[in-house]
Amino acid sequence: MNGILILGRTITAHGRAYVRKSLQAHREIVHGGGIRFETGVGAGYAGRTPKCSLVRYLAIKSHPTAADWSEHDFYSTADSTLTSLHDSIEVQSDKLGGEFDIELSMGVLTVTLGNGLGSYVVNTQTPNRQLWLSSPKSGPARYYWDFRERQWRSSRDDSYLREKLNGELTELCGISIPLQEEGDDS
Amino acid sequence: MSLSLLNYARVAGSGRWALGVMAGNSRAYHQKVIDHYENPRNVGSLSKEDPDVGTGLVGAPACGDVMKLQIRVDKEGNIVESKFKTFGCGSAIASSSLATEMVKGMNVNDAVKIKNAEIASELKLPPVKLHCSMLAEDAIKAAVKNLEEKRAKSDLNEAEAEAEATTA
Repeated sequence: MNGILILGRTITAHGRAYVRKSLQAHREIVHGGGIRFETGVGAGYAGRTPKCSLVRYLAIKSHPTAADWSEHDFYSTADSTLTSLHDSIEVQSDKLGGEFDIELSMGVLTVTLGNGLGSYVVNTQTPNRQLWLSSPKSGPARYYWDFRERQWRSSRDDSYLREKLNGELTELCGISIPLQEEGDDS
Repeated sequence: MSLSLLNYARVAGSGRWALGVMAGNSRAYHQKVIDHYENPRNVGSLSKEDPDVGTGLVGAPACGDVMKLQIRVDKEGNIVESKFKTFGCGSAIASSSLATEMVKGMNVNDAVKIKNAEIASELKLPPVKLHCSMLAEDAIKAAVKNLEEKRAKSDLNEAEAEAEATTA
């Protein structure tokens, strides 16, 4: 997969031509890399690899900072974020009623606020080295790791995951989220 | 494999297990998702070379979701036809199927205003599946953008041809 992501975020006309020419090579990487599709057979494609999608994938989804981030290192960063979020929310659970529930399991953090406030889900999305947030207030969002800032940032508008959660949870139920991870002085 | 899952698979028929895997004991899809999954609306392709067709292709194969949504737009900017092909989970298929139904008859200026929340609430998607509705929103926007680029390019070509004709 690393070979595919190297191209980076900004695709110029030259880049597009390059991608077109390299499509065959990418297909080989994808098949050779053993990436399998596990979410089922969809209408239309019937399990075949939709070949053109790679071009769009490269054009939109890749962040150069994640280019050669190993799965192990990604997961350890993601997991420490999720654990830290879990712990900072859990210690404030007295601000919520009996329906409140929080669970961190297999790289998925689920926070059920109760009182009709809905649920937050943050899950690790290993293939593209992202964290995905589902918020009852603002809907879905994807976050990539900014190595320089050492923060998860929105793939849409570069806003910060922690700021977003802090803003929404403070407003919904008075729970605050530290804007930096504990033990991270940088 | 639980008994309920086996029963479910038998009812659903046609050997499609993908849906049944998610539909455990308590985490079943909403009926509306199942309906769109079982009877997807507007599956297929439009010729992407046609000058009045816009194609939106979004998602990442590595993540398991790829969505292609196409629109055919008349001179007034109204969407007269829409088709989709989606590779992904039941919610992704249902979201794109619903999206094609929503955009038909709409002006492109209104279609790009469709929000993922409209799709998610119509299909009663659970929190983890909100991302599927976002993909459908992105697919609509990408299709409209593709058509606009196509039209801008063809306008440019026409202008060039005209300029050449004038000089000749």
